[in-house]
Amino acid sequence: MSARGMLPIDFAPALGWRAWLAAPGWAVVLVLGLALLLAAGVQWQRADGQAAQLRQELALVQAHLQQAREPAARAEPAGLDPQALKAMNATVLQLNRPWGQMLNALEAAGQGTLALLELQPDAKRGRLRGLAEARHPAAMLAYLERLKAQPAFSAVWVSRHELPEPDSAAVVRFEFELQWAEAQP
Amino acid sequence: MRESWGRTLRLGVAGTGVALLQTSWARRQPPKLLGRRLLPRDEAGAAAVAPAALAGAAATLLAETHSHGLPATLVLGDDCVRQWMVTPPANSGRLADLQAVAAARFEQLYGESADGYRLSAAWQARRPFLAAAVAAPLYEALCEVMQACGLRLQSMQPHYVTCWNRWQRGLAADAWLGVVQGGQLSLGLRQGGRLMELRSLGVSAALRADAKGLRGLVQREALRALGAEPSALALCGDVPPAWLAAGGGGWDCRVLQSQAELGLGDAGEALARLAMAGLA
Repeated sequence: MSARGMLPIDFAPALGWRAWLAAPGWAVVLVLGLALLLAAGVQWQRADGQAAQLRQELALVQAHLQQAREPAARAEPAGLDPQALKAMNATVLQLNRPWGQMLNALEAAGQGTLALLELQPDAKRGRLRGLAEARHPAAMLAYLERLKAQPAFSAVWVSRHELPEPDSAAVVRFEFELQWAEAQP
Repeated sequence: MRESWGRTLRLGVAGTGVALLQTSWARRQPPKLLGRRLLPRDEAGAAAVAPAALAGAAATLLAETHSHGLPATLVLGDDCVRQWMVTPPANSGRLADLQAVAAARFEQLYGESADGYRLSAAWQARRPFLAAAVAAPLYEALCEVMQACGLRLQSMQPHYVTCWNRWQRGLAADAWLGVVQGGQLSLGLRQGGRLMELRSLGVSAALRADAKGLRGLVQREALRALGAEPSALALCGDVPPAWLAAGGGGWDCRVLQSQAELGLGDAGEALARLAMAGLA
């Protein structure tokens, strides 16, 4: 006997899947299944439409945001105080100098014969003021000649110097200025 | 199409004739008896060798009721089939072994080969099981009728098996189940809820009117089986009215009837009850 005491005795040929589908119960299941499928399809379509609408709105917001940023950046200078604008431009000018190139040129001219103590840039006039010490006057003059030869500088001069006493071991301290090549006051 | 949706047919086939019943899976609609055909007296009781007559009656009935394309269930009267218990051999593990034993037992009981029969059984490797056989000519003739009428054959079961499957779960473990059809009582001896023996007993007209005679019959069968008398007997099918009062004296005897059979009343005819076997 099969499960639950039933007698599985039946002379009819084995039922195929078509016979199972023919049972009324399966028709109800099929109809319910189709109804659920249809409802799911409608729901999915609605959700997809809402998602597309949201994407569209997002794109519009992003475009507006982008447009708002660009005019604000362009209009900002016109709205600034003239003094502040002047200061800002001066700062930008200073930042745009080839400082690396100039420092390399100063170092290359030194060749270890003097000590560079101080540098003061004047970006507005395109000048650089320096304070250095050399072992002797010849070294100072040689350094200045080498600075003149640097393509980064168009002019070099000594603004002040202090010569030591003869036969003294003291160094020569001097101040110099140089004009970098692209800047003309 | 709309009219046929949810409808099924039940065809009861017995030696005396055929009955056609229409059921609907919608519970509110009771089964409807579409018609029946009785075989002439000289052919009655010889259904096993007159399949053409039975098939012809079924075909005529189906044609008249315009039942094309419906699923159909056939209930074969216990007089159209042979049923016997088979004890499986020890250490039998293959279906072929069980089939061989069943065929051998058939030949031993009925004196002829099972080759001309279609077998079906509740195959069991370790316990005795029930086997049934229908004559191949009858089976093929009925299948041809089903095919010719465009019916989808869903089930073809013996009367006793149909009733067993319908009622056995509600019975006490040692209650016996009897199915009455005309002059035959198929008595199933149950133990522990399982079918141990199936006896096919003739019921005379005198016995049909004798409630005490029924109990005596049950007691004799219990002795033959070397078992105790059952505490209860459940009957279904064409139960004689006199047997309804068979219970008493510590012995329970009740008749099991479906709602459809109750609708037939006492005048319900045996073929109609056969077609209704197994319904709720």
